[in-house]
Amino acid sequence: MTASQPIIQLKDINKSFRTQHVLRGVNLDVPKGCTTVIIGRSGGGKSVILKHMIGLIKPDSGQVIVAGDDISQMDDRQLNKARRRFGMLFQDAALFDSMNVFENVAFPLREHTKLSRAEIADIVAEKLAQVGLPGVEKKIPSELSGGMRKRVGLARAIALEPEIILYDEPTTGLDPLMTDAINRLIADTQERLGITSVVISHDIEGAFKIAHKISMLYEGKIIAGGTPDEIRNCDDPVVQQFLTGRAEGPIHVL
Amino acid sequence: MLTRPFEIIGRKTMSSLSEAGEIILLLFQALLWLIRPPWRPRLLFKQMEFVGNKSINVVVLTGAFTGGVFALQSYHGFSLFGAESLVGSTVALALTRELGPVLTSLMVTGRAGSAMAAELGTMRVTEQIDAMYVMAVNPIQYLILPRVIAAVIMLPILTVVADFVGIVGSYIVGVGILGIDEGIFTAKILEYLEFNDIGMGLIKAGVFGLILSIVGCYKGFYTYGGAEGVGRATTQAVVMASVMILAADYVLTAIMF
Repeated sequence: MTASQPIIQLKDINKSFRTQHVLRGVNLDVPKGCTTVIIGRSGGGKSVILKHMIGLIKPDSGQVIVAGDDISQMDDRQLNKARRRFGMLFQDAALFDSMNVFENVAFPLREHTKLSRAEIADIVAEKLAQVGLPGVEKKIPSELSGGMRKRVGLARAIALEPEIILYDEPTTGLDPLMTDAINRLIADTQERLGITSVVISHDIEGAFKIAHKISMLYEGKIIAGGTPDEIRNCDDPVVQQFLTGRAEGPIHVL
Repeated sequence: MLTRPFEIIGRKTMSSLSEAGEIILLLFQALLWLIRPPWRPRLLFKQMEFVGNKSINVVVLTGAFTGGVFALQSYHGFSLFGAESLVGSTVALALTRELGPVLTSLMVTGRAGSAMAAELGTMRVTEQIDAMYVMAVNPIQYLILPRVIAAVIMLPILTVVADFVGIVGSYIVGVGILGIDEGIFTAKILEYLEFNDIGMGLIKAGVFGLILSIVGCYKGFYTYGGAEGVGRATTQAVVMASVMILAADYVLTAIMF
């Protein structure tokens, strides 16, 4: 699976925030049509990697190649064009709370297509059904539970049928049943639409369920990458400590 | 040791200058979208309703009491030398030139400017602004431009309301309670109040609308640090916009009258 053409390539990305050097030379290939999971500690810069891929954050040095073009060098107009390839599910879904569910899912359709009202309504209903929430169009985001918000966020992210979906901690803060449902949804979406997915997670069990490729971020670098089996058999003590979830080992927890 | 105070003064000056630069930059970025589609009349009307219609109550109350108390105060002063007949025109001039635009803007800053900072700040910390960028929609154009335009349009209209209600308030107090002759009261207003007084006041109101909206949007748009950050942004927006309105009032008065 990992042999296919990379659609996103991060080359030697460095990024600092004030005095904090978060990414120290990240190199990562995201293969096309697969699910890549990036694991690593909370606050370790995983979301920062994801935001580099879609141009929300620009690297201090290094390149972000998406489908052959370096998006870190683009102006606003080119960047907006490049972003149409993407859908993104934010950590807390980032639904617009001044709009109801229908308007949230319809937002990218209204902005970027010339579809009629009826066509948009059909697509919104279809996407909501795909994420298992038919008929919630009239609800407002604050009436929804965490899991429902994430699923509406996913419906919004896939509304324009993107080539790539980025998931920022899709299962954090959900109960085990909802975690499994969301993981299954990610896998289904990937299979059905044949899209490329990048998932940020520290949920190890879920990562092994959905990933074709797993990469581990540690101290600002990607220290291991490969198929789930390769990662499971990786003899790097840092990776092993993270996979088994022990507080003692080369990673200093406290 | 001796240079320490200068260091502090220098740093404060630099940071406020760079903040002023950022605000002006944000304003230009927003205004650039005036000439580029898509235009969003629905968002503009929604903001006009929020800034304008929903501020009517507070503006009417402010205007009425200001006019009333001004009539009361100036009556006590003017009666010392028998010039009670000038109460109406004094109040009318002060209201249209100064108190109408300034008090209206300060009230709207507290109501709408703070809400802009809080709303955009919440959208920032909950990643809704990032989500907009990701969906290739420019949040400066979608969120900030309609608010700025709405405030520039609505503040002069609210000021007209405040001016009118204020003069009515002074009439009620002056003629109704203090017993000034109603013919003289109105005649003196018409004699001394010129169209220019009202017009200049409305220009001021437009400028104040620009200030309160861009400051509110700026503070909200660049919020960081969760719920606490939203609170800080809101407070700073109100304080900063209020001070800037008062300072701008002096400058505009010096230029115009």
